[in-house]
Amino acid sequence: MNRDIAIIKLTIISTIRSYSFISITLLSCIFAFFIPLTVFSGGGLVDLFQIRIDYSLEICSILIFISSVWSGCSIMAEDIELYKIHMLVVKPISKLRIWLNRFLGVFIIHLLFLMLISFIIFLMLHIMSNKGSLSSREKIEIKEKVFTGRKSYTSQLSGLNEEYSGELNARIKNTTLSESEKIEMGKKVMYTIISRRGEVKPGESKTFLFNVVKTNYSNNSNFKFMLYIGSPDMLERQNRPKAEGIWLLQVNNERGVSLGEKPETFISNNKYEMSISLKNLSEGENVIKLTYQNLDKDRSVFFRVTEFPQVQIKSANFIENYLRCLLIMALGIALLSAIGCALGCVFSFPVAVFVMAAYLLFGSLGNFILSGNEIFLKNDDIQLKIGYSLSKSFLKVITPIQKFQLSEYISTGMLIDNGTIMETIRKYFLIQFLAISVIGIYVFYRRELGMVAKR
Amino acid sequence: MSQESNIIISAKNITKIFKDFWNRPKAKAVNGVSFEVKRGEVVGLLGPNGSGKSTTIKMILNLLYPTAGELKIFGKGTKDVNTKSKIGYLPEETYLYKFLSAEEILNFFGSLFNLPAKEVKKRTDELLEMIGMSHVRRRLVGEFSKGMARRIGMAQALINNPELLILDEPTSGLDPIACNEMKNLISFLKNKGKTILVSSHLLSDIEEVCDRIIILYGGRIAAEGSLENLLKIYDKNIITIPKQEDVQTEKLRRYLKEELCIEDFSIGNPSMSLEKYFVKTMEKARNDKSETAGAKQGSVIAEYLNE
Repeated sequence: MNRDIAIIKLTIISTIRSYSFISITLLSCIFAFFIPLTVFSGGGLVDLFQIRIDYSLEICSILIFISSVWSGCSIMAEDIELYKIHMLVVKPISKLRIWLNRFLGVFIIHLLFLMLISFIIFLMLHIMSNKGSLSSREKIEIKEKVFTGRKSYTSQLSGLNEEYSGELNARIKNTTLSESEKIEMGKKVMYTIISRRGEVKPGESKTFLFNVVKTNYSNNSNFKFMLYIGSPDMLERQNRPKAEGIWLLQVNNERGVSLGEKPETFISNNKYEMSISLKNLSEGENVIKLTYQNLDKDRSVFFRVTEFPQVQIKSANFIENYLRCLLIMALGIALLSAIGCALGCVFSFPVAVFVMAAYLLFGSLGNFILSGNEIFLKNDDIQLKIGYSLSKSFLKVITPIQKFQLSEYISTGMLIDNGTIMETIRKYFLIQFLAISVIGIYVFYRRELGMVAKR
Repeated sequence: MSQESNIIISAKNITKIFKDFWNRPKAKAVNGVSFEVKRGEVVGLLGPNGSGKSTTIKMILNLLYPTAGELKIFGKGTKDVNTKSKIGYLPEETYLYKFLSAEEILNFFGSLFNLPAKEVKKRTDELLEMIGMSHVRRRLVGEFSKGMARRIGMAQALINNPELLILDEPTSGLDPIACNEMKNLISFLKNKGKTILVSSHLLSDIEEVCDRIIILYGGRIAAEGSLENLLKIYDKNIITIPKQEDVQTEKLRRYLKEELCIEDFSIGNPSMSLEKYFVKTMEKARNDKSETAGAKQGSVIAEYLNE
């Protein structure tokens, strides 16, 4: 145990005393301290705080990620290149433990670094949100919309597949369409169904179903939506039509109540957020029905499938949600430290850093390309198709590091739930981390450390 | 003690072939070398550059893997981790962590042997005193001269009180005083029953401290044996007597020539080596109390090494 602690301690000291780490730490502290102070306007007060959180956390986490990669690569590569490793491997400690302790050292120091920076950010935000110049209403608004951990529930699209298959079969029956034409037809059918599902005709109503779970904070929940009047493609910001409507809330089988005392006038293409009280939720799963009654006599109201109404229930306080975000970032640091240490065993320091930069770049670009998959798939450009296929292949072995950066959740007050954490661990961490660690240890174990020619 | 346990290093036909990226043989650094080092021996490994000395040492320390042959240390394979707790190693160049101080370095290496913190501290203090560097214990190793770093390197090799000490060019970078101290230290350790393998270019170093030498050339053993057997000139004698008057010297010369019929002889004054002269001068300067920021003369041998 003494040996392990000694190597971990050595790694931490060597990282702390390196100029690159000192520079990055100073830079991060400056960002953490000054970014919240330098953002003055961003729409409303809530938006302002969202921007402050997003910018500070994102920039600082990127710096910590870079530092962990840099330290991992430099510690292992320099140990081997400058023969310092000779002094370690001739001591009674196995190469496996040397590698693991080196990795742990890099990970622990960056974890402490993350704690320090996130504490500074937290402190700055806390001070700014409790400033005397803010009214108590503003403070409550920030607390409810930003400093919270709300779980979002989206409406269920039940029976979508059955409806899709039925309609598609009816359309292609007795036709001689090619395979690609059938795919195109399928896309059109899906688009029509979704548009139809989101339409509320004049005088009619539409019910959205939500399966929600009771929490300690269910009393203060809210409901978000956006609607389009006249057409689902209405994107104009000026001359936006208005329509009267009313929302009704029904919890389980209780009697429905209207949200608001009288019908309201909604403006097309506008975001709405309404408070709802879910006092009577029972333990376990509950069914909430939110019904929109279109009181306009002439025009339909549309809800786009990607912007279907959402019920948001506070499930955790800000600190808990913040810690969840830090947990995911810590996983990112662990992964990057392991990659850094593994690359440092194989390559010289500059080459290891270059390979690491390529890894991060491919991960980010691949993720970006895949996130716009519809554009790439619809386009006939062969280069785009190659790019899409390459990205897909890359992402089978490369982890896009932005998956470990969830500052957007924190800034928008969205809960980082257990499902998100588990999915990140399963899809982007566990296999990649284990595989990279095993490769790093294997290469280090097999490598003849006496062969390096000193520069 | 059995014959088996008396053998500390056993190399049988070890060969090391360096290969290129495509696994094609590039150079045969060590070619079928076999030797043994017994407990308590001080063995010198000699040879010109590229003769395979360092490669052999690196194979003993498992820094390189033999291509063929069998290499055993304390009766076990070189990959055995526990065996390494009995080994102390001073590499050719001292590869230390320059951001650590002299004291931190020794504490760190002491911890690698799972020694209790108290014991590590005691040994560190004694070793720093022994190598004459206790006054710079908190200075970073990166600021040290080569010789000072070398002394720290020697101290770290001794922190575990090893049974086998492997010294690669131990006097490289050391001033003559430190060289002398190093040789004295090796002799002391030899008397304490330690087994020492020394590799050096400086033949005088080897000559003064080693019992036995192995001379390598082109990766093969060119000569092996005890210094006495290899160096003694059996067909000549040497007589050392106190300084005589010229008349007496002339008498002696005549006696050797006329009475003993010896033609091939010489009579003169023996001279001390430059190293001895330098050590003597430094001792005089020290007695005159001149100050220095560098390493001081080492003092008493660390107490735990006496145990």
